[in-house]
Amino acid sequence: MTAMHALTGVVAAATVASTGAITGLAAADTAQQQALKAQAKAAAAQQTVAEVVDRTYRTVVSESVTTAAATGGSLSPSPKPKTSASRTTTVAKPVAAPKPVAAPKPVVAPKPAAPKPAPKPAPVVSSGS
Amino acid sequence: MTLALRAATPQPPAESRVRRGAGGTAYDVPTDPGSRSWRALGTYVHLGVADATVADEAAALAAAVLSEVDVACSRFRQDSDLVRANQAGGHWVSVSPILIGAVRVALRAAHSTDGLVDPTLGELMVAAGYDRTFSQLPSTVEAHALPVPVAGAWSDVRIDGDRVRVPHGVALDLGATGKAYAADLVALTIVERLGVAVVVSVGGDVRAHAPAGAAVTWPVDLAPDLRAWSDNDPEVCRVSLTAGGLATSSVTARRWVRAGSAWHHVLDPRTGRPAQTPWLSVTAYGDCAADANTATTAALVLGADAPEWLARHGVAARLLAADGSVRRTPTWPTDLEESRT
Repeated sequence: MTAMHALTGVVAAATVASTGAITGLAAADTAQQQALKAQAKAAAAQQTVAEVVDRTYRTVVSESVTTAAATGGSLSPSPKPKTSASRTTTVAKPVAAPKPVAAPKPVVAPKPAAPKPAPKPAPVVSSGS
Repeated sequence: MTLALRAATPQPPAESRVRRGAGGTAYDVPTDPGSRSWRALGTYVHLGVADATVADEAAALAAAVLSEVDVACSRFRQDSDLVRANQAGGHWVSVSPILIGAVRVALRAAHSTDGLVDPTLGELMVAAGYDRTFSQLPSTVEAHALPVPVAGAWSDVRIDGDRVRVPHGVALDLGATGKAYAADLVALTIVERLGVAVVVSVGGDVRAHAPAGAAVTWPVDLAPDLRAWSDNDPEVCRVSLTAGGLATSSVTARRWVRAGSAWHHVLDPRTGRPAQTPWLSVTAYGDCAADANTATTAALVLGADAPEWLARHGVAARLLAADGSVRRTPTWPTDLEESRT
């Protein structure tokens, strides 16, 4: 497999600070406790959007493929084909006749073997899943 | 001489066996040496390539792409980019390019169907009981209060570069278009990397693609669900696909019982309930798998109005009704349809 592409992004970390870490206030009055808890929750919510960490996205999918898939298109320009146009076009090369080696009788050249038909592609399935 | 003959003669079909590829993915190798099948994204994957010598490499590449889609787009993984974006409702979140593409596809589907294919039904789907990968879902789920769908919430989803913002109070669920998008990614990547014609089905969402001048026509079996295909039910038929997408959506798969009522995974965003439809399944062609899937999902939601809607949009579609009858739109290639033999 060819080298992976690396894309770098900045990710807002979804970490939420614990709101249960308020200590030392067991004897405080209830109103003060509630106020502190409210402050802790507000701080945690703020941290959710404020904390930023670096993350590197490594992907085997190229940017051109992602763009094409997202827009319903195909790759352009198309890459050069690596194989024949059809998988059913495999043809046996003619087999050269072996030369007779000082034999009194001529050797009959073997006939090129007739190519067997290529196996039909197995169907893929389109069903609800 | 003998070796030359062997090299030029098509190899005998490989016997069906399991082969383990890089990363531990086990591929079933059917009798066609260019084919592989395995499971990913909670569903089946069928892959075919025109050159059997690169089938293993293509399967490994496809598995890697699907793994990336899972990490980015799954709503069942707490570490996925999608879950992070949903949890930060109302705020911008930087995510992978894979998720950005998936959200673009989902929004394109919503826009082209006037919201019939709505990606913002995640909260509703969870409340309905579909809160984990389907194979782990009990057949009967508890009845929680159902949120009312927020009409048009999808139009408030925003993308800016590598960031996405999900509106507060809703959650993205890419279940409708995610597999089709994955099929498109797999096919395009294999052609780009290996230069070989390919067909792939990800849970029934099929994409065929090929380098210029190397197109191959692939057989595709249509079935309401995988059980019907395995049992060779009479409604199963075979069509062909050379390029583009083909998708089938069905209400016979992914069903469960909630509060005594049968639910399935195709929700009608207008009612917040499972789509009431006369169709067991709908199959459609499209320029890509995502477009095909958009049409079939919208058709299930539209119910009786689907044939007219599909025809008006020029979609080649085949609709299988619950009574076994079949409706086809005018552009459906009837001459390419054959019984499965």
